[in-house]
Amino acid sequence: MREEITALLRSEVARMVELPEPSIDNSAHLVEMGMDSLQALQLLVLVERTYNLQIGEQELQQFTSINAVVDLVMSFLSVAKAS
Amino acid sequence: MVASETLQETLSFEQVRGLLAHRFPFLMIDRVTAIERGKRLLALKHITGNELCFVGHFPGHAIFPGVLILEAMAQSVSLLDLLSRDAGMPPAKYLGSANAKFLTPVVPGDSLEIEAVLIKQASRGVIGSVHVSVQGKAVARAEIALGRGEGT
Repeated sequence: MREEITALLRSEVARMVELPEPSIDNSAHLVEMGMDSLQALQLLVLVERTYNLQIGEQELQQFTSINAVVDLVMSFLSVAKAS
Repeated sequence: MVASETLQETLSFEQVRGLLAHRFPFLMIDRVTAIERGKRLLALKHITGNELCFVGHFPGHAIFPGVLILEAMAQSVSLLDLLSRDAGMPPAKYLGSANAKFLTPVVPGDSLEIEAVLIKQASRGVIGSVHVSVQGKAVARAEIALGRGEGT
């Protein structure tokens, strides 16, 4: 699952910042890669839709890198699965 | 039945003008015919042969520009955001991105029936989905992200 989420985010971030996907560093800061706050909101909507989650705006503070977003989505998925 | 009551809420052109910052020739909503705050909004934009854009788009063959249909869609999302946001939140009027399809030409005499649906509202911006039809026939659709400040 982690690999699937990572692949989705790498593809979308590459599209948003207009860089080739192989050059995307999963640990790099999203802002330093050129993403703005509205694009972060779009990324949040993408993972909400893809994995049928409800993620609050306050969680955007954790949208620092692809790895951080993957961790967040994994934690939301485990909560959803448990409930 | 709260939902049906809220759907009866409408806005006149003057009320729309009081909410949006846009002015002639760039105010693209004539009337709001239904509002479900926090969810969706229905609006109308009538196209007449006197629209300024028809001077050049195109001489002798009036087609309402897709880019102006997109502007009408963006303004409908902006209006829905204004009617749904918490007090003190700045208006979302800066277009960040738009994924749009234009399906049928729009010509003088058409009335654009615009339905905007709220996808996500946040302090940094709003994302909405918009469908436009003329007499029930789809003419355009888009997903639009608007920011609340320059360079959000």
